[in-house]
Amino acid sequence: MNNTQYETRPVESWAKMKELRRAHFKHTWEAAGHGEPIVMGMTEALLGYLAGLGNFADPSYGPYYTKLMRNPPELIKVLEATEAQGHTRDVCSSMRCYLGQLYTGMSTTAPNGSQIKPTFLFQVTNCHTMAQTGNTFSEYLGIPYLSIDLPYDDTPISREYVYQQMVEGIPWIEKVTGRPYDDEKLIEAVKNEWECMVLWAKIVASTRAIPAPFDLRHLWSLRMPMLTMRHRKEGVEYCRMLYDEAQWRIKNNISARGMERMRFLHEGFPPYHYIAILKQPNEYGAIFVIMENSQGHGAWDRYADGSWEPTKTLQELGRELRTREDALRAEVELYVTYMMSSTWYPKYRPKEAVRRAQDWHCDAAVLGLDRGCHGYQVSIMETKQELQKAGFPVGSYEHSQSDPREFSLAQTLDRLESFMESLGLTRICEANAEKAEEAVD
Amino acid sequence: MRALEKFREIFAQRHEYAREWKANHDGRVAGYFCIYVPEEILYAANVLPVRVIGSREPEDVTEPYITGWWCPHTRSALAEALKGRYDYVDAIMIGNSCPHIFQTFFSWSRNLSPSLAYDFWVPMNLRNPSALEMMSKQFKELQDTVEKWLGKSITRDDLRQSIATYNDNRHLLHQLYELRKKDEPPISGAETMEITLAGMVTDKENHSRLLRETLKELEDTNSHRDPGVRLLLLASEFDDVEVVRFIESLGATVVIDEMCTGSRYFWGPPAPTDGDLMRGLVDRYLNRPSVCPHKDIVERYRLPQIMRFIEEYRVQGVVYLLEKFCEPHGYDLPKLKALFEARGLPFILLEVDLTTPVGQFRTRVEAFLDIIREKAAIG
Repeated sequence: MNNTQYETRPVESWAKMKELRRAHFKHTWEAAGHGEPIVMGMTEALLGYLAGLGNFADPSYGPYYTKLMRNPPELIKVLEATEAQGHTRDVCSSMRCYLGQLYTGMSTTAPNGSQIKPTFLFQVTNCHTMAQTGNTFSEYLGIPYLSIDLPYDDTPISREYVYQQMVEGIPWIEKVTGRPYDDEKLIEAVKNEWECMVLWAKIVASTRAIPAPFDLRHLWSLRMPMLTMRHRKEGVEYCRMLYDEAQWRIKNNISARGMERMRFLHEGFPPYHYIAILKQPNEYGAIFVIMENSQGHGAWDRYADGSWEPTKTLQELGRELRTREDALRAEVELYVTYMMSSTWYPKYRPKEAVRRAQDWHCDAAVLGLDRGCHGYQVSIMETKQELQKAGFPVGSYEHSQSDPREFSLAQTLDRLESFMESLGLTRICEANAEKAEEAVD
Repeated sequence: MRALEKFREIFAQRHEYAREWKANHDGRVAGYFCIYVPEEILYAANVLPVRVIGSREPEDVTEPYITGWWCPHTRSALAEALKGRYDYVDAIMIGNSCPHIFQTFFSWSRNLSPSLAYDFWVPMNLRNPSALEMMSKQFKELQDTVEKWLGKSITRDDLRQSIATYNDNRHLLHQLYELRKKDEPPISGAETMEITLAGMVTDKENHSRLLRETLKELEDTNSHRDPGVRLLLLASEFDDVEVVRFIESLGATVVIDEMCTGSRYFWGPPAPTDGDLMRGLVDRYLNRPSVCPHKDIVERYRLPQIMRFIEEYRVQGVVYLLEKFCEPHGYDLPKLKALFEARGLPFILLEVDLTTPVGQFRTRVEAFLDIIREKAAIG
């Protein structure tokens, strides 16, 4: 057990993250006034592709998702609105939250009460629940729907398939928006996207350091501009700023929370409506340092021995993007080859989890057994076995990522505290706990 | 024994059947998990494709691999494998499908080490313009893999013959379903289900032979069976014939189904037996009119097909047997309910698990059928 007391301090990029997050959602309500398209859907991938349209707003399936997660009584009303339509509670809880926003009119209502009409629906499909939600939104709002399949495995067939779909999608996008597709804007956006994803991988890799400059709770929020603006120069500037801060903290031995008596891997999504779960080990002077979802959004080179490192930027690779084809193929590579979609492809996940725990110097693992997302649960029990076989103690708790009705806080804390204590951890004194708390923002 | 009863026997003794087939044919057996695995390619290589189906018995062997909130069908299928009941299966295959069945495939491949475990991507938006090219390459790759696995080539003639055998079987099943349009369908929904299920675990030539006999028997039978209420059955990979028999025993006949252990498995035009065979086969798989909700993305094909069935089979009520925890089917419910309501068609949702709450189902189905009868009486 590492009982060193490290210096800690608030994350300086936190304020920038909040500023960009606000700007992103504000843009949803202002885009139409600027004559910009509004693209609805879980557009967390292929943003550069859409940027061929120029500026666009991207409110996901509902801009109030995070707000609802912070307000469980309101969240439950939205979930009930979905169930009242006849969807079963076995449908993904995040999608039920989005569907509820649709059925109650929230998805298209600005904070000032004005209405927006999305231009079209875009879904990168490797998750059937998102794709099926797309159907419902498209039909309910009467907007056209473009879906691009993103296969899990990296093969020449899957790469060519994604590329062809993107090529075929461009005239469709031009038709439904009435805007010409601009290859220069595409190229610029793909360069940004590539750089952001490399920088994100580097930021996540930096948390392998002891002490880790950020913990998982930090990264959970800090990733938002990377998810929503990675195709824009603001996204790149933000990721550079965050990466520089990580390096500075490492150089100056600044720890995420002041102590890291133990480092934990978290596999599976946490409950978004109680994201403070990611700070729970802090009470024991421990931290969650890595999870698959956090790593997965970066661009990584993977080697035959199972190891990985952030991949190179286009500039480092000496690669020029001159044509539409160059840019689209780079975009395909980024998502099919370098982004780690292995969490959706259970063949690799159990062994990768072990590697993650080893690389990030973890002492134990906690599994979030999430009833809300079925796809992410595939192979989670096998992952547990593989971690245990490799000598990592594993604790687990049950929840539903976006449905507080399927979560018992008391029981969960009880389980996690018992797990911490079984590892020989004891609660740290109040003063240290407060210091750790302050390091969030 | 009537041919009809033989199907029941085959399905009940499907493991023995496959073992015997393997011994007699000097062949291999491949377990498949989803209706998007092209059985024709396997059959062309003297491999018996066997649909992996559970037993509906309570079980306690899957807990280390699957969490508690998992579809009973897929859990039961894995339990069967872990108990060794599929010990004759040499290879397992799946086309990208729902997470639940993928978990079964994954746990099987990891823990039971079949000599071949093969998965491939099936488009979620089946009819996107790039899908045909991509699936053609994937089917070819699957063929190459099977050839390498077996150490022998699949000739064009092997494939053509296999496609013809499958076409013939599908044609006969269509004929069987056609009989159910009659005022007095000569066959019940449960009996039909036994035939389709048996078809998924039997050599197609054998199944077609029995099916011909059955069709002849049914034509010769001058049935005056009162069908009672004419029902459409919606489900996913539903395999519990007894639940259907039970529903029908309350005064109804399932005259048509839309489920992947029923019509969705075989519906649609035949695959071509000349020209580019592989492309023709892919075209059939991608463009079949009945679509799994998991893959019914962008433009919906499943709902119009259901409405066509309702029209053609003069359906009076709809029963949805929804596997507990089934997510893809949970999505379609509001849309379907709205369509049925607009048509004034009564609809009942029964959630099914490994065991069936008979008392509760009886009360609910009886009340449902009473409503339909009363509606019919009023006119």
